[in-house]
This record gives sequence, C-alpha cells and structure tokens, in this order.
Amino acid sequence: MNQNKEDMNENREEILKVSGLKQYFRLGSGKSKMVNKAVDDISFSIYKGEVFSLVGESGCGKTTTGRSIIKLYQSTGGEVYFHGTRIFSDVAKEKEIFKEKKTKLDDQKKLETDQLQERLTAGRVTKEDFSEKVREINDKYNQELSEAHDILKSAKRDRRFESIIDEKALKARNQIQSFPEYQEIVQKYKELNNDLKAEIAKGKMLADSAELKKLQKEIKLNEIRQKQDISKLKYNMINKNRLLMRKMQMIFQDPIASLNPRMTVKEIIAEGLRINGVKNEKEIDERVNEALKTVGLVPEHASRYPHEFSGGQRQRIGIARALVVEPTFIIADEPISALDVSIRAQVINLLNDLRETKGITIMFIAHDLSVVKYFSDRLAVMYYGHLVEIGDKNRIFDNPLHPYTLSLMASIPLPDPEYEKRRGRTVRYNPAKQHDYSKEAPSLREIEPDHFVLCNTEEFNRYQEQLKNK
Amino acid sequence: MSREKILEVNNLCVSFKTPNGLVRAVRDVSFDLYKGETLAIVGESGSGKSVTNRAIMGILARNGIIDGGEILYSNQDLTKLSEENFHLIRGNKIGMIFQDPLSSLNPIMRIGKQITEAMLVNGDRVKNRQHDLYHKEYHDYLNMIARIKLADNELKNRIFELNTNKEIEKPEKKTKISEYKAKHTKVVHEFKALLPDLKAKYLDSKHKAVAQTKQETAVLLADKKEAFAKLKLELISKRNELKGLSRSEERYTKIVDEINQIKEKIANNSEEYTRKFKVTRREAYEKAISIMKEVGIPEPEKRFTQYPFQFSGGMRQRIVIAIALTANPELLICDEPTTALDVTIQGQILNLIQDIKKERDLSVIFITHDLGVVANMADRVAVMYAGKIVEYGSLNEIFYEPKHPYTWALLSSVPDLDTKDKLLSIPGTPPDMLFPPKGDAFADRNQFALKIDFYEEPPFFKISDTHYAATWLLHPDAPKIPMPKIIQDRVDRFKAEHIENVAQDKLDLKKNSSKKNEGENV
Repeated sequence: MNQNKEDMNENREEILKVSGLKQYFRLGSGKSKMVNKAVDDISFSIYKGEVFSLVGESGCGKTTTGRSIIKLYQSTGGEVYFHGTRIFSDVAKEKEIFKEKKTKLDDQKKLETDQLQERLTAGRVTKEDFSEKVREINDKYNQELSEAHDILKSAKRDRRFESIIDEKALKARNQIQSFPEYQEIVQKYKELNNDLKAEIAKGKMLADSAELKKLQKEIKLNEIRQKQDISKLKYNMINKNRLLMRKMQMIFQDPIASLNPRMTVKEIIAEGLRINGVKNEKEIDERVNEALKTVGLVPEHASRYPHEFSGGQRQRIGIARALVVEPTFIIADEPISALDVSIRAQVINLLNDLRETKGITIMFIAHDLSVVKYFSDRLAVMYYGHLVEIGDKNRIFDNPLHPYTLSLMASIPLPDPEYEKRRGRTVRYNPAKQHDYSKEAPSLREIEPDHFVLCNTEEFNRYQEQLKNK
Repeated sequence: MSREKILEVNNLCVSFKTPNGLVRAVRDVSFDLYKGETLAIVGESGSGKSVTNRAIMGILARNGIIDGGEILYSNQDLTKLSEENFHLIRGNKIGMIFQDPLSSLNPIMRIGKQITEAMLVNGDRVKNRQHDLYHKEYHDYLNMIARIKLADNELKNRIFELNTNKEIEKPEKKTKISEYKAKHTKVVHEFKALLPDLKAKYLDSKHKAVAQTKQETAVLLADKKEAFAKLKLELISKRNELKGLSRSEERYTKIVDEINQIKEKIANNSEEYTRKFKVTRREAYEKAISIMKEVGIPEPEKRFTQYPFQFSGGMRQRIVIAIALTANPELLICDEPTTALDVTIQGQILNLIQDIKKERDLSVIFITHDLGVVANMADRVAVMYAGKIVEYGSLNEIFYEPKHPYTWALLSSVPDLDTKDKLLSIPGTPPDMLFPPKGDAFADRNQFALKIDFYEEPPFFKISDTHYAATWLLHPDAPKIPMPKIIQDRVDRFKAEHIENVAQDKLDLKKNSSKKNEGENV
C-alpha cells in the first residue's frame, strides 16, 4: 500500500516548486530601523490536482507567502518554479556564484599563462606556439565567463519574469507567414469563406435579398475574425511569460475590499481578459458569462455592481474573476474567513467542484483546521516565517508531532459539547520553552514518508520513538 | 427552578426607521437569563442577535425604536428608563465586550488611562452618596418625563408606520391618526398631572440629601483636620529638637529619619482622607493593576503606560474585558468577542471569560456564529433567524437533538475533523426585513418546508421542559422528517466517542484506585 502511494507520489506532476523563499520587510528609520522576516527560507512543492493548505495563526506569514508566489511582492530571495519554468530567481545568490566563478576563472587563467611564460623563457615553446596557446586560453576564459554571465543575466531577467517580452519571437513576428499556426488560421477562414462564396454563386438570389446580404456580411465578419486571430497569435508568441503567469490566479480574503465598487461585475471579471490581450467583445461576453455560470451566478448579474450582492456572492465574483483566464493553479487566501457560517459551506463546495471538474490545483491559506482537514490533500503548518510541519493530510492529522501543530489542533472548537467539556485548556506554544536549540539548530527532516517536521537530531529520534509506539 | 432570574426579555420588538419604511430587526423575542449561567445566541449575520443585546444595553442606533415588549432587570423595565437612570445600569451592572478589540479602544490614549477613566469619572464619592440618598425620587420624576417622551415617540412612529404602509387608504389613515392622537393626549395628560407632585417630592428629598451630605463632609473634614494637627505638632516638635544639634551627631540623623517618616505619614493620611471624598488616582491605579492581573496581562505595571497598538489582538481583547470588569458588572454581554481573533488566541480568551465567570459568578450572554465556540461556552442556546428565536434549549439538546431545520442547516454547514461528505449549504439569502415574510421566515431556504410554512407562522412546540422549537415539523399532523444524515452521523460518532471516553475514564479510575489499594496493602 505504502509502496503504491510512493510510486504515485513520484509520478505526480509538480506544478509549483518553491525553494528557499524569503520575504523581508524593512521597517522604520534611523534608530528604530529593523527588518521583519515575514517569510524566512521556506521550501515546498505543490502537485497537480491537489489542494495544498498553508495553516498558521495570523501574522505567521502565510498570506505573505501566497502573495510572494504570485509576485505581488518582490521577494528578498529564493526561487519559484511554476510548470517547470523559473518565474522568480534569487539574484543575490546568483551574483555570489558568478563572483566566485569569476575569481576561480581568473586564477586559473593567470596560472596557465604564467606556466606558458615560464616555458617560453626556458625556450621550450616557440613564439608562434605561445601566442597560439595564449589565444586559446583567452578564448576559453571568455567563453566560460560569458556562460556564467548568461546565467546571472537570465536570473536578473527572471526577477521581472511576467513583463519580459520574448525578443526572438518579436524578431520572428515579421516572418509570421512561415509559421504553421498562421497557415492554419488562414486555411480555416479561407475554407469557410470559399464555402460561403460557393453558396452565393450557386444560389439564384436576388441582388438585394436579405439572405444574400447576410452571407456577404458573414464573409466580411470572417475576414475580421481572421485578423483578430492573427493578432492574438502574435500577442501569444511575444508574451509567452505573461501567458504562463496568467495560469496562476489568486482569490482574496475580503470580498468587499477586493472588488472595485465603481466597476460592474462584467468589467471586474473581464479586466483580466483585456489585460491578457483579448479584444473581441463577443468573446469577452461569452467567457464572462461562462465564468459566472461556473460559480453559480447568472449572466444577468454581469451588469450589476458589487454592493448589490451578498457576501457569498461577492466571493463568487472574486472566484469568477480568477477563473475567467482559465488558470491551472489558484491561490485562495482565506476565502471563507470573512464570510458568514451559512455561506462558508457554499464557497467550500464550489471550490471542491472546481477542483473535480476542472482539475484546478489549489493552494488554500487558512487558519481553521477543521476546514483544512475537510478540504485539502496535503498541508504545511507555518509558524513565524518557518514551516514547522509539512506533509500528507492524514499523516499529519493522525500523528501531529511538532508542538505548535499540537497546540493548533487542541484549540479547534468542535460542535460537540461533550468533547468541549473534556477538552482541557489550550496550551500556548512557546518555542523558547519547548525546544532546546542551543546545541543544534533545527531543520526539516522526513519522519515518515511524506511527513516532514522541523526538528534537530534529538527531537528527530524522539518523534520516531513516538511514531513506533503508536 | 429555584435559581434567581437576573434578566427577563418578554416579546421584545425592535425596528429601524429607514426611508423605505420600518425594518423589523427583532420580532417578538423572549428569553430569561438566570444567575451564573451562560446563554449563547447563535445565528448568521443580520439575524438580529446583536440588535437584541444592544436594546438590552440601551445603545440602539438613533433610528432604532423599541416597538413593544419589555426588558426586566432588577424589577425595572429597561425600555422605559430615562437616560440618566440607564447610566447607573449600563456599564455598572451590565458590561459589554465588543467584536473588534481595535476599534473599541482609543488609539491615542494610554491603556492605563482607558481602564481607570470610568473609575475616575464616576469617582466623586460625596456626590454619589448624595445621589443615592435622593435617587429614588429623582428617577421617579425623570422616568415620568421619559415616559412622556416615549409616548410622543410612539405617536410619531405609529404615524410613520401608517404613512409608509401603502395598503391603507387615505381617509382611513386620517381617522386612525386622529384616533392615535386622542389616545396620546389622554395618556400624556395623565402623566403630566402626576409631574408636579413628583417634582416637589424630588426637590424635597434632594434638599434633605444635600444637607445630610454637607453635614457628613463637615464631620469628615473635622476628623481630617484633627488628625493633621496632631501630626503637624509632632513634626514641629521634632524640628525644634533638631535646632540645637550639629549634623555629625548620631541623634541628628535619627531624628531626620523620624521627620521623614512623619512626612510620609502625612502624605498617606491625606491620600486616605481624599479617598473618602473621591476615587484617587492611586486607588484607581491599584485597582486597574489588580484587574489587569486577573485578566492575565503579564507585567501590568509596564503595560499600564502603553498604547493599544503595542498590544497584540488577544491582549487587546483582554484589555477590553478588563475595562468591562472595572465596574463589577453582574451581567456580561459578549458580542462575538473572538470572531476577529485567531484560533489559538480564541481558546485563551474563551478560557479567560469562563474563569472570570466562575470567579465572579457572572451571568453571560454570548453572541456568536461559531457553533464550536458555543459548544465550549454555553449552558443554554438560543438560535435566532430573521429577528426571531427559532429554537432554544440546553446545550446538549441543541447539539445532539436539534429539531429546527435552520439549526440543522447551521450544524451541517460547518465541517468537523471527520466530515467527509459534501457539506450542506443553506441556499439563498435571509429575507428582507423591510417586508417580513408572512409564514415561517426560513421557509424559502428550507428544503423540508411544508405548505403551511408559507402562510402561517409556526408557534413554539415543546419538546422537553427546557427545549422548544418553532417549526411546523413538530406538529402532530406533520410528516416525520429525520435529521439530515450528515448531522445524524456526526452525533452518532460523537456519542460513540463519548461512550468510549467514559469507559476509558472508568478504566483509568479503576486502575488508579487499584494502584492505590496496592499501595495501601504494601
């Protein structure tokens, strides 16, 4: 059974990979200057089709993590890979690597030239050979250095990933006729129009008849559609990065604050499409209506303003806005904590449906563990910028090991009076008292398959004892 | 039951005046609160649970009116009290904790000042004593004035209600209005006839009270003078002793010490005497520190001078509770005190409220929409929907044998740790209370609604002595509909766990006792 599961894990497609993400905020000025390490070196992966939850109390940096991943913040360090492409890079780290490499190359070059010089003075090589060799060394040095520099350059580029235009594609735009996609579009509309023209030629319609006019109009429309499709193709070729980034969307906590009160629902939902280069009004209408239907609203709602909706409906608008650009990955930042009890179930059910029908991967940021257990496949527990426990949902809920996870779990109130009577006092997690990290600093270690806990060696042994005794 | 009833709400109705008509926020709500118990009021937002409690506190918004019903507290009807009279109850007898701790504290005022403020403002003891002496007559007089005002307001509201009602014809309206006016003038006339007599009584007792307090203060001042004169004499004699001595002598330093002691004594004495006249700053400080300790704020002396922004959310809520506690209330209203807080901190605050409740024997009204919190805190539960209580009962009755479909819906819309089925969400939105529905307000959203639900309001059906629910499903002729499966499963699971736990407890007990026995034998 376990074996099977592990095999499955290996086969899972990694949709998002975060490694060493850091987000520091600089605060104050003068004497009170300080750095707030909101997220400090966290790493995790999210696999396709799963719901990954990030849990912790407020102020632990879970929202900041979500916002850094979707690049609402310019992160301090770390790398983020989305669909295998690096969308955020650690420039400072790359710079250091480049510097190291450069000094190494410099030293090597100097050593080699010195050796040559010696051999020349000793008369073991001719002058021509010498200059030849020197050139070789220089070429090699330049090539290696430029390679290293390219890596640094690409890291710098990836920092502002989404706004970068594909320059190669930009050059190729002029020869767009040679692309097969272009040919396809042209062919498609040519066939359509040919059919229509044949019909006109075949039929014996009067010169002014409505039928004829309709056909002629259709031909003209097809021409316009072809133009639009080609401009879309051009846009997609150039803005590859943006296309990738729009596969990641976010749902915000407060449905009142996150919707512009002066825009109609249609404008709110269509904004993302417009930014992403969709210009055809008809297409926009269609897609907006479809998004509204998926979240359980009706197209008539599109012309209303946000204040005319209830809290749950507003949150649905927020979800529709995320869905309209067809994302594969959604970051849901506490989508239900600002909602009323009766509406929470609606939103959870909706998100669950989306995952099942559209295969959307969800990163669910929350502090309510009962919802997290109901809804997610894997979870990570966060405490003041660090991940303290991460892994499969059932493993963590069956064997919570880190004291902070334990204190979180003990504090969930359940709708069961007997349980509440039995439940003792909630013990507050106090890192200074519950850990002794003076000898050895903690790190994330794998206690059992797909279950990692932040601990040092001594704690690691203790936790494993605990697991065995269970 | 022999328990003492502390608060009784009977058929309370509250409406809000809006340009479109009257919004009926609370419709015919009745409940009792006994001493030392916690009553939880549950419902989604807009169900009128906060409005009910604001009416009890007398802090309704300006357009809010109490249409009918009464709130009985210590033999007084709070709906008919004058504002001055209410001052003596609000805060002093009934304390309140609000939802958002940040917005209920003043951001530019030190915490210590905020806690001691009420104590210092209400701290004039002479005046308070005077008030106590003529309090009854004074408030009889004021309440009569308030009743005249209330009668005026009621007339206005009635006319407003008539004017916004589109179903009634104009001539009919006119006759009705004149009817109301006649009734009003009659009532007001009666009241006004009583006024002069009341005023004379009040003034008389006030004169007496002033004279009495004057006498008392004179006695106190004389006492003070005497005591001080004695101390001062002592001081002068010591100073005279000093004159003949040089500084190097041992006796000199001894006498200086003694003088300092006397000076300190004088300062202390003067403080003690001022305490008899009013609450001094030091007294307020001492009390504030002890209350801050009681609500679990570490280093209260240091925290005393800090500002609200220097506190975390949980600590802020503790401060709010401390402020509510300074006046020794006997009834505490908690309006969603943990909704703005985190799970872990929520647990701490709930524990704190429970501790305080036990220590001070408080009665608590706890408003929330989190059923987990209710299960933790409450003794009895009232479920509210669309301005009405739809079900009330003891804690176990509500959670293990809920009868009203709305309670079912509330319970099934939250997952617990073992929920695996799809959650049952409540479709639709609460009704517009401008036009309260004719029948059961929940009928539109209720999948179990019967035909009768749409045109006739269900009365309360008795299930047990403490458990009542307003739903037609309990009528003997109604079809028997069982609880939704998701709740039934959950209840079964909880019960099984409970039995297991009890068995485990017994085992543990046995083990312990057998161990003890062994120990004794050895």
